[in-house]
Amino acid sequence: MASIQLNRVGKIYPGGVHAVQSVDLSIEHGEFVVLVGPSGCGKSTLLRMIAGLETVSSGTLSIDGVVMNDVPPQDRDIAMVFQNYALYPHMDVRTNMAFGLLRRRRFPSRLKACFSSAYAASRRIERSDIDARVMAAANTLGIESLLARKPAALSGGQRQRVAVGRAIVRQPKVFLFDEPLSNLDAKLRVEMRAELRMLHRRLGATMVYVTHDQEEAMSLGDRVVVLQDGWTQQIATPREIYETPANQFVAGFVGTPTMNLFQGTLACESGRMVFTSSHLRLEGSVPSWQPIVPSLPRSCCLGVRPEHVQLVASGGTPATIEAVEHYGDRMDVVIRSCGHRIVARTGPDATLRDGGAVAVQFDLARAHLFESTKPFARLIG
Amino acid sequence: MVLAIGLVAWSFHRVGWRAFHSWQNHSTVDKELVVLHWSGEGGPEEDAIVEDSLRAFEKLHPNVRVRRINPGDAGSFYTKLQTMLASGSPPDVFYVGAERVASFADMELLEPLDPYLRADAESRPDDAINLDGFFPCTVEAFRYDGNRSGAGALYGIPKDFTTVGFYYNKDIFLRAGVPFPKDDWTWDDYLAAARAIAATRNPDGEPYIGSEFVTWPMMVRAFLRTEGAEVRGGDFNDLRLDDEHTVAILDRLRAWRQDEVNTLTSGRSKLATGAAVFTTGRVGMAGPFGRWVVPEYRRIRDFDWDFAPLPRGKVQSNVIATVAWSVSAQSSHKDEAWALVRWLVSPESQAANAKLGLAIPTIRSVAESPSFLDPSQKPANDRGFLDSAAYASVVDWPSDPRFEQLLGGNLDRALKVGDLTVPQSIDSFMKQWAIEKNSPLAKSGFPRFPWQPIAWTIACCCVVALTTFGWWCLTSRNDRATRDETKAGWLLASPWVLGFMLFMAFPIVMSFLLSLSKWRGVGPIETASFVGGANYFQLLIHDPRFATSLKVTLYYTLIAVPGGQILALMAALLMNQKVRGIHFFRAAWYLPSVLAGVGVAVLWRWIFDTDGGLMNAALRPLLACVHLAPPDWFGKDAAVWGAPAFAIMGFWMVGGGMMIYLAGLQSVPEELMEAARIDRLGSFSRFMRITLPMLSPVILFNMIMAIIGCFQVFTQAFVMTGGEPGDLTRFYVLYLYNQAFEFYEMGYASAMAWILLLITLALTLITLRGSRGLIHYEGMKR
Repeated sequence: MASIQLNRVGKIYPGGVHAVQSVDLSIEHGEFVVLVGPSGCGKSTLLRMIAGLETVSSGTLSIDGVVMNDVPPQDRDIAMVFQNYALYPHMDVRTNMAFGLLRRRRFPSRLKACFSSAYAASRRIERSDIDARVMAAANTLGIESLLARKPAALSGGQRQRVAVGRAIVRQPKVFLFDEPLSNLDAKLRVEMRAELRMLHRRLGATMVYVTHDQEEAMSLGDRVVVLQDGWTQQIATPREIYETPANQFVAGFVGTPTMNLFQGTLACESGRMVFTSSHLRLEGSVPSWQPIVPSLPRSCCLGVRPEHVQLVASGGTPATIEAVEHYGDRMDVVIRSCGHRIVARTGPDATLRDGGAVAVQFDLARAHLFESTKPFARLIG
Repeated sequence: MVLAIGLVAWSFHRVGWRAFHSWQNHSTVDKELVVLHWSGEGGPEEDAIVEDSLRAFEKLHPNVRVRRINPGDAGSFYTKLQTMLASGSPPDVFYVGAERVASFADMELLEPLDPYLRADAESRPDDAINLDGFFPCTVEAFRYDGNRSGAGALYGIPKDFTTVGFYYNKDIFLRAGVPFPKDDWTWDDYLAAARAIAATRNPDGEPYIGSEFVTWPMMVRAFLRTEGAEVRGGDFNDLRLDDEHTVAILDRLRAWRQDEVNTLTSGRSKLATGAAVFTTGRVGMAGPFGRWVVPEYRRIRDFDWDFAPLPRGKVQSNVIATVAWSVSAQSSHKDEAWALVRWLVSPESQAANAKLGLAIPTIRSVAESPSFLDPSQKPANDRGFLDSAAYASVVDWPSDPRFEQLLGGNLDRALKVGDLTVPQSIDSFMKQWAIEKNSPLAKSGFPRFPWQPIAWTIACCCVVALTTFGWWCLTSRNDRATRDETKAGWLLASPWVLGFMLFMAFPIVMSFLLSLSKWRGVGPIETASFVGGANYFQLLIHDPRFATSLKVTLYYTLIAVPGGQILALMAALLMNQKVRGIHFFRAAWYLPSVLAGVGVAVLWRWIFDTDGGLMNAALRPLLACVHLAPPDWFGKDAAVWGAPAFAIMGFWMVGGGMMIYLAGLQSVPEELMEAARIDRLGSFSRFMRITLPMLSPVILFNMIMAIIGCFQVFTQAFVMTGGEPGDLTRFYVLYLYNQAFEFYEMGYASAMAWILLLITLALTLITLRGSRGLIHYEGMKR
C-alpha cells in the first residue's frame, strides 16, 4: 500500500508534443483512482510515468513521499497490467505469475546452492513461499486449472486473469492498469469490472486504472480523473463528476446517452429565468440560479441530462420523435424540437413510435449551466 | 511503363538487327573459326593484341570469320574449355599450357600437327613454320608420345615461353651492401644475399626479409635439377623422391625457410605472388618466377628492380613455362584452323606480343630483336631469360593432374607449414599417389553407362506419375468449383513447376546418375562409363583428402557458425537502437553482404597477409604485450589459423543474418520488455530471459542457414588460398571443384555433391532435434 503524489507533472515528447500538462494529483493509501478521457488525452502517458516507463519532463512524482522521477521501474515496487496483457508467451502460466519473484535472485545462486546447504534450504523455503503465493492468487482468480498452460492456449478472459494474477503475486505497493478490459467482449468486461472492484476491496491496495470508457471509470473508481489534451478537467468521486461536472467537456464526456447541451442566452424576466436557444424557449423559476442573476442577461450553455427531459402528452414544447431505442427497463428517445436534437430517457412506453408527435418538458432545477466561452466552466453549484 | 516498353522494344530491335547482320554475313562467309584464349597477367593489352591479330587474319582470308572468346584468366579458360568440350562444340584453336598437353592428348582433344608442318614445307616453303628457328625446349614441351613429354607427336605450336629466376629489389641490395646477382650466381651466393638482407633493418627499424621462395612443384623441381637431382627415372612409375640425395636437398630448402628467421619467407598463395611481394618494400628477392610478373612490376612506382636467372648448384639448369596454340581434334575446319595457328605464331604476331613484356617469343630471331630486348624498359637483364633457355627444359608431370597437386600439397607441409619433415611429407605423398594409382576408378574397362534404359525408365515413371496424379485430381474432387480452383492453381504455378523441372529436378537427377558413373566431363556424356557405387566407396573408404576436406570444413563451421551468429545478434541489438541516422548505420552494416565475392576475397587476402597485412599490423602491437607474434594465417600456422581466418572474414558479412535478427527483434512486443522491467529484470536478464527465447525460432533458422552456408564455402578459399598450404584450407566444395574441373572427374564430384547433401541434411536434422524445447514458437503466433 502506498500513496502517490503528482506535483505539476508534465510530459513533452521529443517531437515537442505536450502529452501531459502540469498534473496535480494526490492518491491516498488504498485508493482506486481511474484516469479517463478520450484517446490522446495523455492518460496512458500519465500512468506510464507513474510506472517509470516514461520519463517525467517536468514536476515531481513521488511514491510514499519518495521522489521517483529518476528511479527505474524495477525499483519502484509496482505491478502493471497491460492492455494486451504482455504475458511471456514462452512461459507457462505458473512461471508467468512467479516470474517477478523468481528474478529477485542473482545468477550464481544455483552455484551457491551447491556449496551452501543453508543457502539451498533458504532457497527451498523461498521457492515454496512463491508457490504458495501463486496458488493463492490463482485461487482468488479461479485459474488454478490453467497453471500449466501457455498463454497461447488461453482465452482472452483467462489471459486477463493471469495478467492480474501476475500483478497480485508480486504484492506491490501500487497496481497500475492500462486499459486492461478493452480487449474483452462486453459481457466479460462487466464481469471483470466487478471482480476488479472486489479484488480492490480484498487487497486494499492502491490502484491506478486507465480507461477510455467513462462507464468503466464511474463504476470502478473511488475517484475519477478526467483528462483532455493533457490537462486535468476534474478530479472527483464518480457521483460528483456526474452530478456537478466541472465544465462542458466533463458534462459531455460522462454519462450515456450524453447530456443535452444548448448554446443560448439566459435572461431574467420578471423574476423568472428565461433561456432561449434559437426557437427553443425555456422558462422557470430556479432558485439555485439566483447568484448569477446580476450578470444576466448573458450567453451561456445549458445542459440537461436525458433523464431530466420528460416526454408528456401535452403542455410542453412540441417535438417529433426521430428514433426510439428500447432497453427493456427504459427507453432512450431521440426527438427533434425547435431545431434541436434532444435525447430523453423515459420508462418503457409502448405508445412512442418513430415519427410520432410528442411534447417535451425540461427539469430546469436539475439542469447545469456552463460558460459558453473558454474555459466553459460551470457557472453555479 | 512507356519507358519499359520502349526499352524492351529497343533491345529486341538491337538483338534482331544483330542476328540479321550475322546471318547476312554468314551468306558471304564460308567458315567460322572459334578461338579460345586467356589474358590473365597480360590484361586488356594482350586481349587487344590477339584481337588485332585475328582481324588481320580475317582480312587475309576473306572467306573465314573468326570468333574470339576470352573468359579471363587461365582458371576460367580451362573451365570454359571444359564446358565447350562437354557440350560438343569445342573451339577450333585454343591455348594449351605445356603442363596440360599430356592429359589433353590422352583425352584425344588435340590434333597432331606434324602432318600439317610437313605439308606446308612442301606446298608453301616461304611462310611455313620453321621449327628450327624456335627455342628447342619450347617445341619439346608440346611433344608427347603417350607416355612422356619431349618426344612423339607435336600437339601445339608454342607462342611464347619463359624461363624462371629471381627478381630483386636493387635498393634493398644497396642498403644491405650486397652486390647485385650475376647471371652465373650460385645458391650459396643467393643464400648469402638473403641472409645479409635479413640482417638489415629498414628506416623504420623493421627487419627486411631475404627472399620469397615459392614452392610450387615446378619450382621445387627446378631447384632439384640445379642440384643434379631428378624426381623420376625413365618415367613416373620410377619415382625417386625418396632418394637420399633428393631428400637432403629438399631438407636444406626446408631448413632455410623454417630454421632461419627472415631469410626466406614462408608460403604465400598464388594470388600474393604478383606485385604484392614487392609493394610491402620489405622483401629483397622473389622467385623463382617467370616473365609473367614483369608487366605488374613495371607498374609499381619508385621501385628499382632487375632479374637474375635461377642460381646454379652442381649444374646450371632452368625450367620453362610455355603456352602453345593448338588445334582441336574435333574441329571441322582443320585446315583453316592450322592456317590461323600459322598466322598467330608468325614472327609478326610474336613481335607484337613481345611488347607486353609478359613472355619471351618462341622464335629465336624475334626474341633477339628489339621487340623483346627493349633497353628502355625494365628489367635490364632481358638477356638473362634468353641465356637460360639454352639449358632449360620443360617440367613434365604425369598426365594425371592430381600428381602435381598432391606433390605440391604434401611438400608444402614440410616446406611452408613445417608440421611434417621432408621424409614424412614425401612418404605421405607416395601413399596418396599410390591410392590414386591403385584406385579401382583409375582402371579402365567399365561398361558404358546405360543412358537409354535409364532415360526410358525415368520417362515411363514420369508418365505414370503424371497420369496417376491427373486421374487423382479429376476423380477425387467431384465438386466443380474445387476442380476449377485446382486447375487454376496448377496453371498459375506452372511457370515455377516447369522451371523447377528443367533447371532443378533434371540436374538433380543427372548428378545422381553421374555419381554412379565415371565421366571426364570433356567429352559428350555418352562417353561416361558405369561404375556403380565405386565413387562413393572410394570417397568414403580410401580418399584421405575427402576426410581432410571434411575436417577443415567442420572446423570452420564450428568457429564460423557460433561466432557469426553471436556477432550478427550483437550487431542487430546495436542497430535496434533508436538513434539519429540509424538507417544509414543499418545500410552500412549490410553493405558487405552485397559486395561481390571474388573482389572481397582478394581484399581479405591482403588483410591477412603475414607481413604487410592490416590484420597482423593491428595484432602485432597487441600480442607484443604478451610476447606473442601474430599468426602466419595461410603459412606456418595454417593448420590452426587457416580455417579461422576464413571465419573471421565471414564475420565481416554478418549483415545478412543481422537483418533477419533485426526483423525478429522488432517483432518482439515492446510491452513484453516493459512488463519485464516492471518485473524487476535488468537489461541483461531481459535479454537472456525474454529477448532470446522470443528470438529462438529466428536463431534456429539463422543457425541452419549458416551451417548450410558453411558447408558450401568456396569462393573465398578458391581465390585466397586455392586450398593451400597442403590441404589445410581445402574446404569440401573446393575439393569437389578440384575433382570436377581440374581432375576432370565429374562422376566423383557428383558423388561428393550427394554426400554433401546428406551431411547437410543430417546436420540440419540434428540441429532441429537437438534444439527441441529450446525453441519457443509461441512468440510467433499472433
